[in-house]
Amino acid sequence: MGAEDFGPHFSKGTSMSDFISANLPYLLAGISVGGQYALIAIGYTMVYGILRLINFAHGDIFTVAAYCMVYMNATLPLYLSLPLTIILTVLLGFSVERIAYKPLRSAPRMSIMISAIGVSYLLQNLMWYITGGLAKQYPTLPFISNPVSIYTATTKMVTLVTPVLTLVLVVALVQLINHTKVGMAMRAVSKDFETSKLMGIKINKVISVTFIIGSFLAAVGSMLYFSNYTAVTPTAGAMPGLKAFVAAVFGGIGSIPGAVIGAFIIGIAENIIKALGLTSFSDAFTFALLIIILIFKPTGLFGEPQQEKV
Amino acid sequence: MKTVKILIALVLAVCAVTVIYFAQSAKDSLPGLLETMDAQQLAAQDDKMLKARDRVTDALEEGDREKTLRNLTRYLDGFSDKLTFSDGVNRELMLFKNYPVLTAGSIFLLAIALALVVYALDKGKKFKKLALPLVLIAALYCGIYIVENITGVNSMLMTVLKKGAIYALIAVSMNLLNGFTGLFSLGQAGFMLIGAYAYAILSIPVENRAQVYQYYAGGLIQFSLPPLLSIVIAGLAAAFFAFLIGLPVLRLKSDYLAIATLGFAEIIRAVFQYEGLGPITNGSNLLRRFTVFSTALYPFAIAGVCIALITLLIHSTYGRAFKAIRDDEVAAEAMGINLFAHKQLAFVISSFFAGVGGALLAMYQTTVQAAAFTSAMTYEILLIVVIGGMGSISGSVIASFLFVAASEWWLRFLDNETMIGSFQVPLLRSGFRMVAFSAVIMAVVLFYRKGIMGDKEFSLARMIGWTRHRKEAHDER
Amino acid sequence: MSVETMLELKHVTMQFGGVVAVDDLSMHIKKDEIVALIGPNGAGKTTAFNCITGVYAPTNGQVFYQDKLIVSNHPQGRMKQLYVGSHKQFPSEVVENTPDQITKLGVARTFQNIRLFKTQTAFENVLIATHLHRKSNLFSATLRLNYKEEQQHRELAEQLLDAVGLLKEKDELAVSLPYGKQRRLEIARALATKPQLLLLDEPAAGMNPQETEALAKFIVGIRKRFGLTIFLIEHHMDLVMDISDRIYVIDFGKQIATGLPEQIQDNPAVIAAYLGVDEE
Repeated sequence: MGAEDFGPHFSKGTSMSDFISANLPYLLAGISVGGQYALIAIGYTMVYGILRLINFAHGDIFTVAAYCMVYMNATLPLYLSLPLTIILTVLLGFSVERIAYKPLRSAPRMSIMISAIGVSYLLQNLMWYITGGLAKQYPTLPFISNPVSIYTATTKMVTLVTPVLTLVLVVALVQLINHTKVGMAMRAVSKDFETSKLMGIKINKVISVTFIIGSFLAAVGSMLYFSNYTAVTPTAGAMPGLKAFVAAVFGGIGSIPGAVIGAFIIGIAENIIKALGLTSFSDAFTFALLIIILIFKPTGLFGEPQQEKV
Repeated sequence: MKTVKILIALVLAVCAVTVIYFAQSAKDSLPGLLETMDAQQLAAQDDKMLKARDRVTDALEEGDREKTLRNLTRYLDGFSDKLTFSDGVNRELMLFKNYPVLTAGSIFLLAIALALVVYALDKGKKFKKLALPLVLIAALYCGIYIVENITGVNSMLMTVLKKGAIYALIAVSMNLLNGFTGLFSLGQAGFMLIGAYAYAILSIPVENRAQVYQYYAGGLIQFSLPPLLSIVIAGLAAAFFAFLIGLPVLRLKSDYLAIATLGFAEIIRAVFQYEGLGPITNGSNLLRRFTVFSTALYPFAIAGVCIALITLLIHSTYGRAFKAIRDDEVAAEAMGINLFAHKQLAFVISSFFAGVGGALLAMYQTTVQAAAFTSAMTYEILLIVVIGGMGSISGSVIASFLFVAASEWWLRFLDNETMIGSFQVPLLRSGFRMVAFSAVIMAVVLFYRKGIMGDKEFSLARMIGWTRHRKEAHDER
Repeated sequence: MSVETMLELKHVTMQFGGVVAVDDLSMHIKKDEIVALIGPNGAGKTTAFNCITGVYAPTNGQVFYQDKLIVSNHPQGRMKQLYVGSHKQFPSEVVENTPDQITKLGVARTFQNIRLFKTQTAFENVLIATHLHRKSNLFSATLRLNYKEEQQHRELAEQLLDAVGLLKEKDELAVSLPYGKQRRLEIARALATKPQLLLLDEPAAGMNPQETEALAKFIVGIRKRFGLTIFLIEHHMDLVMDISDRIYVIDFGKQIATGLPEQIQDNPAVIAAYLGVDEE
């Protein structure tokens, strides 16, 4: 992109308005992509909180959501394709859990993570097969794809919608977790899996609900993300997926507010790196951040330390 | 009995050496042989025949045996009359044509002789178990040599064998960590990348550097190391990075290792493509024209030695400590095993061999590009380990060859649109191979969790015991 | 070498959040003694073991092994936020040894909920515990240049299996052994680290009276044979009264009584703590 064009302005900044007009697009992009990462990161962090599983397939479910939209928008009107995409994605997330993770409930944890990697591999290959490996153009969604100008920067509506929608969804989710029966069950299971099982909590139901919520948020995130980066390829979701996971670790894995804050920090930081003209390092930076946080605060910003019982 | 064995061994060795000597001399005497032919037939007056003869000599000088043989046949066929040679010439020709089989066979005989000596001189029967594997390994290598000379170096079979051997080493190195020490690491591609780049950068001959580093004024490094040394340094470079990563991460819970190594691999991939490092890494451009191997024996030999070392390590007191950590960290620590030091050791060793594997992969591909070492590559290797069985070296080796053969060769037909009569076979088109393949892998992961070997090793004794058992059962019936 | 005091605990306190698992525990064990630590379930016995062996860093207090400070912490140390008590404070340094370092000093232990290496055979389980005596390094071990040492370790492992009567089951998987044999295998494994002090965490759990009696003889036997000092946690009162030289009783983390077996048997505080639990 135009990193080289913008880069020098960042350091020169002849006047305040120049500085802002040069860097505002990056800040906006950072907030927007941060919100999108947040929606994916919640899926990771919730699943990890309950199953202690890094769901490597989550990024691919995010991509499948994009493809669903691409194919359905070609034949169906928006008011049908939008809900259908969400329903199909949720269905996929649910079935992946039932087929690939549930049978391994009593297996060592490494087995279930390997199964997640297997699912990711399968989904990627399946998408490659169906699409022929070519990049598809993501459809233009009304309203959120509309251009809008803020101060001197021109951007798409989605940039503004994302943080708002993200916050609304997160607040709703936190309400759900804190004030409903299933939410209470989720908290109990993530505190102590074995004991909650003994207490008669329907573990499988709780896990399914977790995957449904995670997939739903991934589907929403996918719509927002691909309205910005319109090319959909079979591996398009892998990198945002990994970054969202890093965000979850950064915020303290298992903590929803942590994941959201971590995602915004990573989204913004990554765009600052781009503004500095180091675009090729924006991915590497995210992981460098991960390693730094693991060195200094392994439990993340909001994580709780755990002690193993001997 | 002992003397008889040694005598037989001696006879075998003498035979083998004689055959090798004659085969070698036949190769050397081919130019002389050609002279004799010319003189005999005088057909070389023909211009075309002269050229054909030159081609034989050229190929001979190049040292390309296959080409020489091809041109020689063409030359001999070119004579209008059937050639008749003296017995001596015929023998020389036979020797030359069958050079690979003869050498391989002789080496095999030598191995048998060696095994016999081991067997005979072994007082406490300590090395008795060594004799048979020795022969089998020699047979394997001889077989590869023969097959390579029959099918040509670049046949599909040889491609699969070469890549399979390299993947076997990498899979075993990953198994050391994931299967034997119980550490879930996903950084293999990153360490392979370091190894591949270190090897390529160090081994590009000085005269090729200007061309390879054309965008960076010939690059920074203006020397070149011999391939074997470069491979060792490649391994050490990967090991060094593993050491640095391990320092903070291996003190944490093992989940963090997975994500930190995955992240590390991504960082490495970006750093190696960074333009600023161009004079060393050639930026995002290919590294090429470095020294590569010309025969499959090379990767087989290096991978073989490395896998043997890993096997020895796993069965040593250190290997037992690794397995103890895998089984129960708390108990292992209570038994005086320093968790961090041993995890670090396993991680560094595993990365060393991943680096060596990366160097071999670079040689196999003849070019290297950082962009290719994605996390998908790590996943593939992890899946090989799972298919073979976590905690089984032989399983990883078998699975590597199966994986490479299936993905590069046997399942290729799934990618082609196929017509049976006028009926188009459904589903078959580009990409279906990988779908079928990943579905099979998922099936293994879900329903056949132990993989091919579980945590057992392939053992001849058990194989023999099994067949004998079967036979007995059969006889009883 | 004549070390009089093998193990000494001074004011050891361990808190998990608001729960005080071990409360100001002080005790000492002399060389060649068999000392029992008893108390109702959840009294903090295993936690005390874990503080001695370095699994947990105590919130306060010190542990000496052969008069050498091996564990030390105090409210001004790393546990500042966690500490809420008003016990004696030590302005001394913070000493945290990891479990493997403490094992290397000569303190070995078994676990309440048997922790054998599940995929390994009985023999390998014991052999693993000889790892800390190795003089070989990675290279000599990999290239089998340590042949003699390996041979010695294997012989030691076989002797120990013989000593606990498991030589016949040498090549069986540890998990496939019956419960009582697993307990004995754990002891053999602990002995392979060549300890001077052996901590046994409920060695007779799940055993019937005959087995318990055999175990008592066995424990006294290994003390003599290997010159051990033994510190054990146990619920089987017969066993405790039979073999212990002295007994400490704790309840809710606090020491409530100490003395000779006869004294403890009649101690009203102990009877109160065990009320309704009585001797099994």
